[in-house]
Amino acid sequence: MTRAALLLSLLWGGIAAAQTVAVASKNFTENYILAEIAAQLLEAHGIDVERRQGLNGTKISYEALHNRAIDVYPEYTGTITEVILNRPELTSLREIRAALAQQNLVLLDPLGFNNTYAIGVTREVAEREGLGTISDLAGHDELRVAFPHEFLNRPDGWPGLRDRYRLGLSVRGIEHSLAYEAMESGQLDVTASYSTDGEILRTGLVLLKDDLGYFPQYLAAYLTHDELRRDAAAVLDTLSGRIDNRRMQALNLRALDPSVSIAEVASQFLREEGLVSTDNGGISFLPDLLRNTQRHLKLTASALLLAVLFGVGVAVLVYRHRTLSNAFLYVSGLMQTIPSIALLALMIPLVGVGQKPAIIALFLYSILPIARSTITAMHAIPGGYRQVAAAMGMTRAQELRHVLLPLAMPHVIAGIRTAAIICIGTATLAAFIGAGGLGDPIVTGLALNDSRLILQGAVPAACLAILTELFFSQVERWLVVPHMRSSQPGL
Amino acid sequence: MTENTLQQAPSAAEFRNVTLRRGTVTALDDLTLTLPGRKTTAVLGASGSGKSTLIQLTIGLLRPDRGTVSTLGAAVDYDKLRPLRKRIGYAIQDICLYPHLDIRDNILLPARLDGRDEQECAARLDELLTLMQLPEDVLPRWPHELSGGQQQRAGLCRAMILRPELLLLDEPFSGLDTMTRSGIHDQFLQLQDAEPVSSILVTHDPQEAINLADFIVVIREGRVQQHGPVDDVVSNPVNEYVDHLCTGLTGIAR
Repeated sequence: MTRAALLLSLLWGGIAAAQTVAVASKNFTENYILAEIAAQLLEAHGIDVERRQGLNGTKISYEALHNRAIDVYPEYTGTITEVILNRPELTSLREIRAALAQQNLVLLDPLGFNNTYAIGVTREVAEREGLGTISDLAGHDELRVAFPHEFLNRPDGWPGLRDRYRLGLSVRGIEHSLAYEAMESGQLDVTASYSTDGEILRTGLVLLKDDLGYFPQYLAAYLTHDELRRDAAAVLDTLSGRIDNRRMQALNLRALDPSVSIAEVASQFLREEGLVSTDNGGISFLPDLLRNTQRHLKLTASALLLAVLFGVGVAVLVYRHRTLSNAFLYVSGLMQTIPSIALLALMIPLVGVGQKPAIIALFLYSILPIARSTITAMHAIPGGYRQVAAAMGMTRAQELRHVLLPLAMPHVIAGIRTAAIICIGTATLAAFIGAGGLGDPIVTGLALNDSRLILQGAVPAACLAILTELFFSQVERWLVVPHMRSSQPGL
Repeated sequence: MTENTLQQAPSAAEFRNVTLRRGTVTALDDLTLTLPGRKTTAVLGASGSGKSTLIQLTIGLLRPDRGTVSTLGAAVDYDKLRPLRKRIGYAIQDICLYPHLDIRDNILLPARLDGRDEQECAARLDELLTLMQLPEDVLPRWPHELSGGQQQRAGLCRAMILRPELLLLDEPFSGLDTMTRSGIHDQFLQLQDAEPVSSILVTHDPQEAINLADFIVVIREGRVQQHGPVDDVVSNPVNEYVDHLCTGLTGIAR
């Protein structure tokens, strides 16, 4: 037992290191690149970094920052006013910063680009028709126009644009990813895109100037909280103004190449800017792996420990009453039927994001196997054993300690083992709500379509599952006499 | 028709107008009976006759629907059963030993629960092993590694470890073959000679009752058929049922 305690304390201790900066990103390429640039730059200045990339959307990222589960992530001014503050009337950086300060949040200086919607035309059409601004489109109703469905329908997209510029274009809908191909092959003259898309560079699209200032500003900058280490904030400030639209397009374009990792894109940028002298791309692999594994173990071990205490505890309290046991199993079974992602999402409004909701969700999932095996094992104990215990004058506690638990132990351990394996698998999904762990590289890999990253999470997770099996065989060896063990000898 | 009271106080157990139903079945029907102290009484009957019920009432595992039960001279106090149970040794058929404890731990379990001194326990253990003719090398073994006879003898050792005032045996020998059984019978008699203690032995085997007991109670369908010294019951059966049970059995062992 002391060995187990030692192991647990090592796990906890390793994570407690206070001064680490948790750098996060949302789950799209540009955000990954910006987060990775920040992470590598901080590391180059000797600051410990923890990567928490691939958070599932603005709401979760903001919640994570709010709860200090993360320290910094790249955000856009338009998103801040529209989604986070819900005050679209704020336009100047000063106003936005003042509003953020009320929530103890800090927006660092903008990086230099504006990732907003833009109207693009092919170079050929632009030159032929003399198009330079969106106003120039008036009177060119013969142009073939297709917009992504989302842009076509949202009020701050095409409908508003048409009214502001009084355009008479006839417009079709198209998949965002197909629009560039259609433009390249000359089937389309005009489309809408994000102003920093890498494809703009590749296809040589001309972005028309928003001369009436219709589109809101989406200036990119690092969003952090007011307790970020001063030296970290200073380091990140050196990035301000260094990435204009064209530069961001180039970085995004480079990341489109499946043979180039985000880390490489970031590290190349930092070297080009003279901010980092050595190639930093591959160094973080092992520390990241260890940290992810450690965090993964912490998530599952905490959840499992709680579930063992609760599941076995309640099982011991209710097993004598048929109805109560059934009700308990029914409710914990119900938990099991909620899809993991849904359960994790349900936790956010209740307890925010980060490790806490993940641990609670994993805890809820672990109860059923543990409680069921405990109750079933208790019911399976022959009445004679209990009669003899009673006749010896055992108290309830003595009966539990000397008779019931030892007899039920092999089944209880089997239940805990099942729960542990479920936990390890499910915990990989917890990365979606910022809990970190081995799900981090998996989620990132899925978002970037990078199978190497996916394997960096999946392989260790599988190894962890096997180690867990071995660990519980050992636990059984400690707690159960040989002829009552369920494991095969020699395993 | 029956002689329900015998001399000698304090009695091992006393039942007054006890009625007990289990489900819709009446296990004991207005039963009045006194079992003498410092003697061995065999409760003899077919399965379902209510004989095991009698033992479970004695130790408070069951509570009568009507009537009173007194054990070792005092009415059973159902709110404070533990002090009483610590004065009683209890052994049942088959599964009396715990599979997760070795033989030593099984036998010593009651003593440890009671917080007895280890040295005192070890001395008592040696004494019992000798009486029951169990070799010392069974102590570190698991129950399933022992023969049925050895298991039952270990069960008896455990029942006797705290020097109980009353020994309750619920068919402890019925799972054994004839040869083994007669061996254990001998050891049980030696035990009784060495440490005379009130005993109640439930059995469906008339020969066993005759071999081991001073008194016999014959029970059928929750009612006492006959109660008396072994010789009396065997030689003067009061009805056909008792007569039928005892036919062909002779040889008073003591």
